[in-house]
Amino acid sequence: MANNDTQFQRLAVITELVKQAPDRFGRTALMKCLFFLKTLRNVPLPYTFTLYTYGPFDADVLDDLRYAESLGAIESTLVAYHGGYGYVLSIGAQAEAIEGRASEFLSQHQESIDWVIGEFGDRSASDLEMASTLVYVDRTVAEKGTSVSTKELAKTVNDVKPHLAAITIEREAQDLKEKGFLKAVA
Amino acid sequence: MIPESQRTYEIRCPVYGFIQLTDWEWQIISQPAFQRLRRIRQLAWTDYVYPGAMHTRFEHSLGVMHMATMLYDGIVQRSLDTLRDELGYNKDGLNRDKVLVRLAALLHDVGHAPFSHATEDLFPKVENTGERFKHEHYSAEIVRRNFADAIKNGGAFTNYGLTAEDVANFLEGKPEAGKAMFWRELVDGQMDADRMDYLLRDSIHSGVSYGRYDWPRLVHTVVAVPSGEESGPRLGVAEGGWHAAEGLILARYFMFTQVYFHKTRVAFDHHLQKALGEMLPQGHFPAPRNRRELDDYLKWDDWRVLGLLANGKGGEHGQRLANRNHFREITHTPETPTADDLARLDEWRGALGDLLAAEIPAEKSWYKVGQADIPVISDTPKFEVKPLSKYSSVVKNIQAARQVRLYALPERCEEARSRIEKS
Repeated sequence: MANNDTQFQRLAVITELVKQAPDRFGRTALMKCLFFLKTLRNVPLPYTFTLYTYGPFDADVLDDLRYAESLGAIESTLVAYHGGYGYVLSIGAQAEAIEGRASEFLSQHQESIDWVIGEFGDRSASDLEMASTLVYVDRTVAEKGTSVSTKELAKTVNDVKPHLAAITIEREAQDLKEKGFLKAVA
Repeated sequence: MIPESQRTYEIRCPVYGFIQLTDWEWQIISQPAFQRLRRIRQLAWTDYVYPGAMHTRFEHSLGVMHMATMLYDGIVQRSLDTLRDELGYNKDGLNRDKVLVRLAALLHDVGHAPFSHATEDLFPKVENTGERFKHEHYSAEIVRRNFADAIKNGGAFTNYGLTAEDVANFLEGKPEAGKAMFWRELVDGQMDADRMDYLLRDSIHSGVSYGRYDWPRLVHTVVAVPSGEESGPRLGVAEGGWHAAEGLILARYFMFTQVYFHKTRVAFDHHLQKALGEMLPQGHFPAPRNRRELDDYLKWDDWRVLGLLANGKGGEHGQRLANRNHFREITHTPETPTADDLARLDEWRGALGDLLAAEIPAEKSWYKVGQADIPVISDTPKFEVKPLSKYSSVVKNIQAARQVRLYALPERCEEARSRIEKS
């Protein structure tokens, strides 16, 4: 049935991301990599990301992750971070079987998955949060048909995240611009 | 004589006793686009299963504003240092954002379609993405176009210069919301005032106890906590509140299984969607793109749909609604189907063939069990932040609900059940 096909496409992409990611790939990294896949590579994932202080987020991703865990495709382990705890994801015994249910979709988008892991897979959760917020804000500016400078983009992100240093955000924005990931930055 | 700036109104509420409004907020709820919520039932056709569930989005919206205010005040009281040091808040900023949060909570549902979530699959698609509009898009645009004057004209009340655009940006999560984005979790988040209110309210009106939890304890323990993986603060609870947070998660689970995804309730949602699809021009609602389309959209409410149904509109599904002749559930998967269960589901579909009248998956339900893993900050000197699932083995083991229900026509359900038994 179409509904199940769509569901397993999402579960397969999540599983493949976890499979290819380096150690200590957590929920934040998964959330942001799915956002990048949809926004930067147009992978047709039906998530609706909206902006929070901690960057683009869709609770449906966590729902899918939980189901992938229930099916044995993914395992979660609680680990300590600076100032708190989070979950690290790894592959479960049923990963191949779950991927097999959406093999065609996976092979269509394998290159994008490889790309997102190569580009962002080893970055810290807080780096990914900043980069994804910059891309999110950039796209909202681009949707209006206007453009901004790197400094202006960084300033808008800093307004949302006053706990981050402006210079750090600006450096990240410059890096994303040089890589061609931003549309609205002149 | 009470000055206009201090005049308040109290509205009785079955959940909280009284809800207080300022004179300015009273003007806002008097707008026709807000009064329309009196004509949109919170739980669609649920009263055909739980007869008391006749409440509307109007009372829920007032309740969300009240709950959001209590949460906001609690966080400010307990986390003032964090708000000041990490987000740069001062007293005026906090007062301003409290007004913003109250308005956003009050207006978050003004974009609902008739019968709430039941008919959201009839929203048109966004041209450039191919994805459907959501009721949140309608809410934001209605706030911008229908509440601009009422919000701007705060009268004698200090409204901190807030505009409809500020409220809409906050609701949509637009970056223009700035540091107020921190509060967005109170209106649309893992532990938001929306679900905290609807669980309690739906429970009371449905006559079930499943949605009740210790909300006063949550209100008195919610705090801003440092994030685990990410940077900056987010909403969480103090250690003393983790059992109350656990109760909230369990309430969601029970309400989902007992009310929101009830086999007959979701069958009525199916009929309603099909019937309304026949009533709407082009088979879908107008888009939230301009004044004309939004005005057309706002004309759709429960009264109008019920009137059309009473006049025989809505085709076969309209007749089924009118005569309570709904599809009957033949079988269903477990709440969290395994790979074997899904293989069996495929067999059932094959066995039923043309007798399969509808398939309703929990995955598509707006009301999900949810994977809220609320951060909890410890009382110990280290003030460690751990997810609720580290404290609660119950929360840790709640699975994603992906149940699938299969339905047949009432007159052919025995035949369908027989095919399932033989498969």
